Amino acid sequence: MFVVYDVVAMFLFAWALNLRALGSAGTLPVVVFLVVLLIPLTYALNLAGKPENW
Amino acid sequence: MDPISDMIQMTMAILTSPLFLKIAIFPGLTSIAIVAAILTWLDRKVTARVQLRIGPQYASPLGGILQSFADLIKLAFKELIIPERADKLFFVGAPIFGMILAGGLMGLIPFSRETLIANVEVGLPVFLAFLTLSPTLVLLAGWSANSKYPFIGGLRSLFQQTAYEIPLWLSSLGVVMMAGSFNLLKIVDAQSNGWFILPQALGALIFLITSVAEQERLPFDLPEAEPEIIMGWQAEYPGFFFLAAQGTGFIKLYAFSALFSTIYLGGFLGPAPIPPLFWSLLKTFIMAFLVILLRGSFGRVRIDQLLRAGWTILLGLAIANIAITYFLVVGIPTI
Repeated sequence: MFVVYDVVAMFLFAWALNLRALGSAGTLPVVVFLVVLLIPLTYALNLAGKPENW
Repeated sequence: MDPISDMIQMTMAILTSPLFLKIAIFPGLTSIAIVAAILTWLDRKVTARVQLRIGPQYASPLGGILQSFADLIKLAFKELIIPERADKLFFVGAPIFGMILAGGLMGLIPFSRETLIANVEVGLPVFLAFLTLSPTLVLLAGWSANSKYPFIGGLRSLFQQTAYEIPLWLSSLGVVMMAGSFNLLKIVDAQSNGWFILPQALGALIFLITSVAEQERLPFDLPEAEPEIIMGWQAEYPGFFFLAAQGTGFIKLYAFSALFSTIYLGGFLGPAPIPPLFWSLLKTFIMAFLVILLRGSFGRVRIDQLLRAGWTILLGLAIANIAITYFLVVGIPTI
């Protein structure tokens, strides 16, 4: 999970640098990208909260 | 020309070059060592005052300010005992490489427009990338000692730093979005109309919390935790190596405080008659003082609390900060 999110941060840095040039059109894929990655994170954290999985 | 005099001339040219002086004196090696020693003293003195103690007082009439220099001399001359079953290469290399790495961070900080060792176009990511190596070194140090407490400390450090590194990176993303640059000098220039701490208040708070965790300072000092694992990954280090391990922590405190003042507090910007260098150092020391105050004010968190906060609250807030910054920079899109 750490590696995935570390790579995500890299992509976001590239997006942030060109934010003004990209505008809303360039932001939509980033939002989709984030949502797609946040779903498994939520699931993983949900599993981590269950003591029977430890 | 005589080759010897040619060599002497070349050596003198290097020794008197502005870049060499910056690396050797300020903001480089000499100043880093002195500031780390002063921060060690400040840490002990402030924590003592918070706990209604006196703290160091005998070494020098000025509140025992020379105590850390005395400790430095003592540790440097102590016998070096390396555990018999330790992996000697990594055991010796980890703290020394860690100190070099922490010192390298200072080369990226613009203390003024002229007082800067390396004006790197990707200064902010490079600074954060240097930090990414730190948990690896701590794990190596803990593992190579071949002892229980250092290994537990190393593992704790790895867990902690992986949980806090991503919120740290994402919190600084807001600054990049506002400045439109990774270059630390350009980030300072972008704050000429107002410091980023105001629009980036949430980002700055997350950055402060995660940077304290990255520095392994209270309330996030689980990898060292004296009452639990007896200094953790540093437990087996003798004399000079212990000095290197401890020194790294204070150099990191200096570097993080300088970075915070650069990206959120306008760096060297300040009213004109007073030189920029003064403003930069003043803001850096105020930040270091605040981080030191945290040590005296909060108790240590548990590992489960720490990991949960890192992976849920801080990560969530960091993403929320990106969204807020987006609307601040681009505005609310019209449909």
